[in-house]
Formats: sequence, structure tokens, C-alpha cells
Amino acid sequence: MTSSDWATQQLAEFLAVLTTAADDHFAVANALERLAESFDADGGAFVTGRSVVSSLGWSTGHAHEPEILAVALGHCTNVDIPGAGSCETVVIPVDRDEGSKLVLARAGYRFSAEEVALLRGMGRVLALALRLLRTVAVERRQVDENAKLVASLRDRQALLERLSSIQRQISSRALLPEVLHAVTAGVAEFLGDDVVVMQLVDESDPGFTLTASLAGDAVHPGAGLERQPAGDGVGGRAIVEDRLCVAENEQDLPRGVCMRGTQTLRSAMAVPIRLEGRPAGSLVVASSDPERRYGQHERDVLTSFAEHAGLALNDSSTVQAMKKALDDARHQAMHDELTGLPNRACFYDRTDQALRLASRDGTCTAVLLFDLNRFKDINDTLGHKFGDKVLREVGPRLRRGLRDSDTLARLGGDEFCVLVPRVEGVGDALVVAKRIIELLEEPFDIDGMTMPVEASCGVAIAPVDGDSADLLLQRADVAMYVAKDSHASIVTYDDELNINTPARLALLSELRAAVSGGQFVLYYQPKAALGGRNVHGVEALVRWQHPTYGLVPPNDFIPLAEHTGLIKPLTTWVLNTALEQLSRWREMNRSPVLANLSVAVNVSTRSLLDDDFPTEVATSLERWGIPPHLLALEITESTIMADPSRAHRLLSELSATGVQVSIDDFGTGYSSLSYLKNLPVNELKIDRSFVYHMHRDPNDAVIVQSVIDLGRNLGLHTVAEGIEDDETWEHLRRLGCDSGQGYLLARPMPAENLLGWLTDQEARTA
Amino acid sequence: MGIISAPSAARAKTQWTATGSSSNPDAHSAGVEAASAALSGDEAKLLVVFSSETYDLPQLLAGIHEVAGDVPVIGCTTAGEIAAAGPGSAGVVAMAVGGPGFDVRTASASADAGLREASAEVATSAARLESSPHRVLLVLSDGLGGDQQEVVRGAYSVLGAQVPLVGGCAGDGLKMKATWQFYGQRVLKNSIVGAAIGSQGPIGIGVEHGWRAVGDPMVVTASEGNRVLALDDQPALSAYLKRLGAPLAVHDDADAFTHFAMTHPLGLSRRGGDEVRFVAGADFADGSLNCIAAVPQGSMVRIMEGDSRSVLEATNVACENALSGLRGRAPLGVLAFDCIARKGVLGDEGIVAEVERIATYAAGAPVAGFYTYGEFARTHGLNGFHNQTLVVVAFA
Repeated sequence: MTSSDWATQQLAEFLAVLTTAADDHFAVANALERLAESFDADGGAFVTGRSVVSSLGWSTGHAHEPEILAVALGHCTNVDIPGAGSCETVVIPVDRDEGSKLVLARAGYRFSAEEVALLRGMGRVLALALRLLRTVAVERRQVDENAKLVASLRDRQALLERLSSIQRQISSRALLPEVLHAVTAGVAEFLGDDVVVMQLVDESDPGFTLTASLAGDAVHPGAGLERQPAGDGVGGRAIVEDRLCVAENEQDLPRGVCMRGTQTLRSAMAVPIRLEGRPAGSLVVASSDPERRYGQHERDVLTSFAEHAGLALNDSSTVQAMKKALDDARHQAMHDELTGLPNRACFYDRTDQALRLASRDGTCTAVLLFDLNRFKDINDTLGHKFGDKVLREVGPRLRRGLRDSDTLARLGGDEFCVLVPRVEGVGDALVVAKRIIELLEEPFDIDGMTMPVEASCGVAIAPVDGDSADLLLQRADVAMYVAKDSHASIVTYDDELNINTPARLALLSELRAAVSGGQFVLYYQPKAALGGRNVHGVEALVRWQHPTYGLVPPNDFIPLAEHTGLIKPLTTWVLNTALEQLSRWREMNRSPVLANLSVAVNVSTRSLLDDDFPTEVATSLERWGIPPHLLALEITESTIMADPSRAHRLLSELSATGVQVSIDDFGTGYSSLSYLKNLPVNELKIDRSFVYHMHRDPNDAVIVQSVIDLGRNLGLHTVAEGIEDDETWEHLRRLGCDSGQGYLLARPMPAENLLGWLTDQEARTA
Repeated sequence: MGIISAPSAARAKTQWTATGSSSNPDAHSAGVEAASAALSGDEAKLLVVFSSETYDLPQLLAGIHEVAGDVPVIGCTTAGEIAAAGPGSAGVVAMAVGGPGFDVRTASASADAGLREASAEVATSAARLESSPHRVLLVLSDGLGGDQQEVVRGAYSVLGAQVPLVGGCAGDGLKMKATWQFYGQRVLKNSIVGAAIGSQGPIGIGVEHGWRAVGDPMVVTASEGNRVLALDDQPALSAYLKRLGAPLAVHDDADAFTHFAMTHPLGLSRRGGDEVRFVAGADFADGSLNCIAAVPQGSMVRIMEGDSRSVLEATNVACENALSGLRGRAPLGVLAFDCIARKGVLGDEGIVAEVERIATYAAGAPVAGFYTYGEFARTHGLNGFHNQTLVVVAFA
């Protein structure tokens, strides 16, 4: 069970206990017991001013009042309960007017903030319940006394029984309309008038009254609810004048009551019905007998019934008020006071709930943790009040970027967290994160100041990164800190991030500088047909020319770039640079080889899953005048599997423009071939690890053979990577592989070396 | 003669416990036999008797009284008795405690005016044992009447945290008709009988159930006290049976239902973990479920399950926790209050294994107990009524 379930249950049980309490002493004692049971507490007390009204946990006769008062008055925080030991305490205000407080004591562990919030709500509910019980007790005594007076005149027993049955209905929480009907029916029975009307002031429009209940033999059964101006007739007068009134003329008679036959009303009397001491309606009797007289007996009977209607209304409105207080308490226990957003406890709850559902339908769940950048500066320079305003504005802004089913919570400080259930993979999560970052960048107008808010976002996905709210948040937190440190806006969690060293963080920040500072260079490695060795393409490979470390190998920075989002500007740069280079070679128009040369670019998960990527590719192709079929995008299996449906959609878009799609490092990934059939793929690149060992390891040879066969069956071009000797080259050719790449043919080389190499190569193959 | 186990006794310098049992079909003789075996030591302070409801109970108590004389007697009927030699049905088991190191007060009260008031009245007797360094209040109640947590509340209102509470709800061999409590020679109904036991040696208490919640929670959308009327807005009985995919026979046969429900309790979430609620029966006419303690409206419940392994593992935990309360001393006697539902899960062979385990932990000390309709064990806080649970009390 989650903590919000727990809170809801405790509140529901607590309300049940309070609404059935007979008097305030009983309510207090019961409340203490239920609170102790709910919170696993050992004892507690109810204190008013300087007196302990009720206590729990101490044996009878044990003098413990001074200790309890010391806690209640804030002189100490622990109390010793014999048998339980030293207990942590929490003091909850109940009714400030009378200075009452609840003390709860628990041995072993402290009360959490969430528990205290819930207890405060329960304290308010208890205050309401106690006030009501006292009011009702006083009213009930008066009502009983009045009824006794009336009953001394006539029908004593029957009337008392009827009134007490109404009281029982009220105590057992019968539906309000039923109780009110019992009142009018009782009046009709005991006074015998033709018509009994109960009208209540319309709460939403106090200028009018509504007929709440009708009784009497002469009333047509279909008579519906009637709305009248509040001061009308004898009933209205009883409300306005707050006293019993008897009809003095024809205008005073009740109107709008649908009568049987042709009877008309000739006499009437009304008494006010009071709610919390003020007239809230009236109870009217009317008769077609012009000689009908209302003596003291009739007046007393009607007044008694009206008082019972008042009791029922009071009770019902208090129960409603208590329910509302409970709802408020429940809300407060699960929401952040400043922004009204769900709090950490609520977020945990909903995340755990989402994870349970997700494990059932096999979907992923994303947790995005946002931290506002330089929020501390805002607080320091513009003050906390201003900072609070910013936080209050950020909530609705974030909400705009979310679906209804997403949960936005404030975890504290300037940390906001978003739960995105039912995502297909990291791609969906990145789309949401990006949308939110962009929304925040739209300037906020706060106290006449216009300012954008920048945020860093850490993303964690279940079940890959964790299967509990706790773990996911922890991981999103790690990712978020990396984002902050590396000045990236969005970072997805990776186990490697968890082992962040200062050196690694330094590298991250240098990587960022490198992307904008032109420290990257492209090397090109040729690919040739295995038969004839004619070169038909090159693969563009990025190298980082670090000012101090020299050439940094891709494995040392590509994963970092991927997780920090730096991969996107890097991919854009690679794509542009490679196409620009290709266009230069094509312009040279030196040979048919150059005219048909294609270039392959490696595409990261982030880029592939970015909705803007196909447009970016198209723009770049157009800019450099390259026919789309001369560009190949190399994508790894894991990139596709990160979010298969999104990958499928974006690859289809790309493929439709004529761009070639190549699966890189084939065989090292999930080896789930089913997706291959459906994906718009043109080429399979057999991973170097299989090629390298295929001579010595028959298993590898079998894998290589089957990839080639698979490619052939699906009509795909096959390329073997990492060919280092002639023997392997020849072997692959015999197996039916189409092309080869590797040191045997050529190492990756700078663009300026390619032309020379090509000339030599043409000479070799001629 | 129907003695099913040889009398067993353990003695320390100033305290002793001893047990006796009998399955003699004659009630009077059974009483005499069990009491004679248990009351073998000097200065007996209390005799606790657990008996099958099938006996002629006044005759049984008369037999016991012949032997016990002035020694106070409390007890109740059961859903099966437990002795070191093994679990038996249709028998009587008695445990006596004695010696100057024990101080005992007994009391009984009718629950007609409320379980809570009756319990408070019984608990008042324990308040008079202030001089003993270790105390426990043992109560036996009528599990078929009312919200048994009220028993804990009533005792707590008098004793506070100072005196732990243990005990069980009397049974009637799963007939679910009427259970009986014993006080001296009197056979009582809807009552609480209790013994406040003061001891010079420590008293250890272990509590464990071995059940776990399965499946999604259901909301109790309507309930009245112990009756659950609706779960997730569906009639409770059909929602419960549907969730469990219960066999058809269970849908309209009271006995079949009780046997089925015994191993499918409801779990009520509490701060300290799930509180198990034994579903004692169903009202096929109005589609409600009857539980042994209150299931408040608005609460979330989950159906719980256990298997013989988890239930037996709980036996170990309960015994170990009880023994660890003895501060290194060897146990002098062990009382076990074991839920009938655990018996249902373990089966006849399983309960033999369970009682053997308890006997092994007791290391030769006398063991007595019974299969209950609900267990009491309040060691901290106020939640002290349990279902489907094993409560082990060890004296040293």
C-alpha cells in the first residue's frame, strides 16, 4: 500500500470514529486511541490549557500529567512512558480558541513530516467534531426539554417516540432528505393539517427559498420543488422575523403547493428552522379550514419538529464540514504548500503506482527531474518572496508541457519532478524534457521583471534505470547533477554517470567547449566492393583534437556526449562537415569514383529520436547539393531498441527521402531480427569483432555467414568491418559479402589524404 | 485412559510450570487426568485449561476442580489443543504455573455491556501486581462477539504500555456457533477471562504471521463493524470470491466457505505492516463477509496468502523472538496461541511439524496452547489484536 492510500484510510477511519461519538469526552478518548493505532504510537494525550483532559499509554493512577504538560507547552520533546520507554512526541494544535492540543508519543522512531501534516489535518477535524458535539448536546437538551413540555399536554408517548426516532435517524446518518421528510410527515400526523411545507433558504441564492419537503393528505403526490422569494408568505415571514408567525391575511398563505381537488388553503402557521443559531428555513402548516386555530399545543408541536429539522441540518452540515476538512488535510499531506503541486510523498506514491501498472503492461515510465539554474542567485538578489513567486509561476508553465496523466511535483527548493507514465522509451521522455525546457525559456513576467528561467534536467527510465520510485529519483538526480556540471540542459541517466569523477566532469566541460570551439576533425575510412576492390563510399569518423591531450579516441567522449545531449550539436556538425566535404570532392569532378562516392555518418540515439532530425538531414543535403542516396546513416541496434516505434517512424521518414540506412555493429546488439524485416534498412555492417576472429573461431565464422545470408534474404547490402588481412577479405568474398572496410584497405584518414589514396588505389586495382 | 502425553514439568528455584493433557472421552475423568498431571508441584498459582467444546464442559470443570481445589482456573474452548507431544483435537490441555516466584490474579467479566469495558475490568486485576518485576496479562475472549481490538483498547486504558497483553479468542472446532470461557467452575459465554501473571523471571513474547499480501488492493466501500458489505462497490462476497477464482461449492455452502476463507484472509494496511483479518464466514443472503475484527469503511484491503513454508518460517520467528525476551535464560514453560487458519494452511502433518518446532525451541520445557479464532499480543503501541498469527509466550 502506498502512503497516500494509507493517509486516505487513516482519515476515513478517523472520521468514522468521530461521527459516531456520543459526546466530546468519548470523541477525545477514541480519537487518541485511533491515532495511536494508526501511527503505531505508544501513547498520547489531549490537553486543554494546563489540564490533561485525556491520556493514553499510562496505567491508571500513574501521575504523568506534569510530563505531558511539559511536552504540550514545548518545554521538552521526549516523554517517558513506563513499559514503552522514552518516546518521541509530536504536538498538534486542535482548537486554538480554547488552547487544546493533541500530544502523540512513540518509542523507537520519529514522526515524519508527512505524518505530522496528516496529524495536523486530523487535529482540525477533531476540533470541528468537538465543537459540533457540544453544540448538538446543548441543542439536544433544549429540544428534549421542549418536547417534554409539549408532551405533558397530549399524546405524550407517541410524540416523544416520533421525535426520538428522528433523533435516531440523525445519529445513524440517514440521508438528509429522509430525515426532513420524517419531520414533515410527523407534523402532518400530529397536527392533522392539510399541508405541511418545509422550505429552506437556497444556499447559492439566499434571496430565495426551496421547498425541501412536503406532507399532508391534501398535497398532490407529484408536487415538486418550488422556488419562491425568501420573504414570501407566512413561511418567509417566520424566516425574516425569526419567530413563529400565524397567517394574518390571504397573501400570507402558502402558495404554489399543488393540492388535490379544489381545496384552497385558508389558515397557516410557520416557525423558523435554525442552522447554527440563524434562521435557515421554515416549517409551515396550512389548512383549508378557515376556522383552524393554532393554540399553544400546536405551536409547541410545530416548534419541536422544526428544532429537529434544525438538528438534522446542523449535523449534516458539520459532517460535510468535517469531510471537507478531511479532504483538505489529505490534500495538504500530499501537496506542497507554496505551489499547490503534489509533494515528494505524493510523487513517490504515484510513481510506485505507475510502476506497478507499467510492469503489468510492459511499458516504460520516465522520471524527469528539473532543477532551476541559478535560482539561489534569484533568492539572494531579489529576495525569497520573489523567489517564491518564481516557483509559483514555474508550476503552471511546466504543467503546460504535460499530458493530464503526467504528474508534476515540487520536491522542495527549486526541484521539480515530472512522472511520465506509459512511454515507449527514452525518446518520448526526451521530447517531454525538451518541451519543458523550451517552455521555461519563454520569459516570465514577475513583478514587472521579465526573465527566462533555465533549468537542468535529469532523466531516468524504468525499468532500465530502476524499478522503484526511490531508485529512479536517485538516478534522475545523478543525471541532473551531471547536466548542471556540464551545462547541458538534459542528461539521461547511465550507470557510468554514477561513477563521476572530477576528472570526468572536467572532461565534460571541455567537451562542451570543444563542440563550440571547433576542436573536432573528421577522418574518412573507405569502403570497397569485396570483388574488384572498387571504392564506393567512405565512413566519416569524428576525432577530438584536444589542445593538450592530442587526439582523443571516440570511445572516450562519444558516450559522455550522448548522455549530456552534446551529441546533438556534434552530430549536426559531423553531418554538415561530411556533406560539405563530399560536395567539394564532387565539384572536383575528377573521376567516376568521386562522382558516385557516398558518405556514411554515425547517428546517435538522441539524434535519431529527435523529431527534428529528418528535417535537419534534408536541409543539410539541400544546402550541399548532395543526392540523398549518397548519404548513409549508420545506426546501432541499441539505438533502435531504445525506442523502437519512434525509431521506426523517424527512419521511415528519412528513408522516404532516399537516404540510406545502415545498421552498424550488426550482431552485437539484441540479435532480435524481427524488427529488421519491418525497418527501412538498406545495409548491414558486420561488426569487426566477428570479422577479426572468423579465421580462428568457427562460431564467429558461422555468425558472419548467417548475417550475410540474412542480408541476402532480405535484399540488404552487407559490409564487413575490420578486415585486416587478405585471407579474411577473400573468405568474406567467397561467403557472398558485398563490401569490406578495414586496415587492409585503408586506415581512417584526413580528408586531404583521400584523393591521393584514391589515385593509388585506382592504380592498384586497374 | 486417554492420556495423550506424559506430564511435563520444569522447575527453577522459585518458579515452575507443568502441563497435563487428556483425551479421555469422559469429561469428568479428562478434567481429573489433565489437572492431576499439571498440578504436580507445590504452591500452584494458576491453572490454564484449553479444551475441546465437544466435552460436557460443566463436568470437565468439575473434574478439574476436584484436583485443583483453591487454585484459580481460567480457560476456554478451542479449535484444537496444543501440547508438547503434538496437536490434538477433542481433548483437554492444562498448564499450571506455581512457586513463590509467580504472583497471579484472575478475573472474569461479561462482555454484554461491551468488550472494552469487560477487558478494562479484567485488566484492573493486573494493576495490583505492581511488585513483580515482570508482568503479563493473559486474556481469553469470545472470538465470535464484537471487535476484538476493543479488548486491547480496554486493557490499554487501564494498564497503558506497562503490561503486555497476550491471549486468544476461544474456538468451537470451526463450527462458528458458540465458544465458551472458563472461570473456576463456571462455563461462561461472551465473556473475557483473564489472569495477570507476575513473575520474578523474565517473560518473552513472540508474534509472527507468515502471510503476504497479493494482488491489487480493494477499497472497503461499505462496512459495519466486523461485516464487510462492499469491496470496490461490489457486494463483498462476490468481489472476494471472484478475485480468488473460488470453486463453485464455496459460493453457497457455509462450511465450504469457512474452510476456503480460512486460508484467504484480508490484509488491512497499518503503519507497522499488514494487519491480517480472518474472514470467518459469509452471509449468502446479503452478500457480506464476516470478519473477526472491524474492517473500517474506506480502508484498503488486500487478499493475503501463505504457504506451509512461510507459515512454518513464522513459527521459528515467533519462537526465537519469545526466547530472546528471556535474556539468555532457559524457558520454564511456553504458551502458544496459534490461529486456526494457520492450521488450515499447514494441514494435519504440518501442524505436527509446527508443534514439534515449538517443542524444540522450548527445549524440554512444558508447552500448552490452542488453535484460536484470533490472537492477542500487545508488546508495543496499541495494535495488539491479530489474526492468522502465532503468539508464543515464554516464561523463565
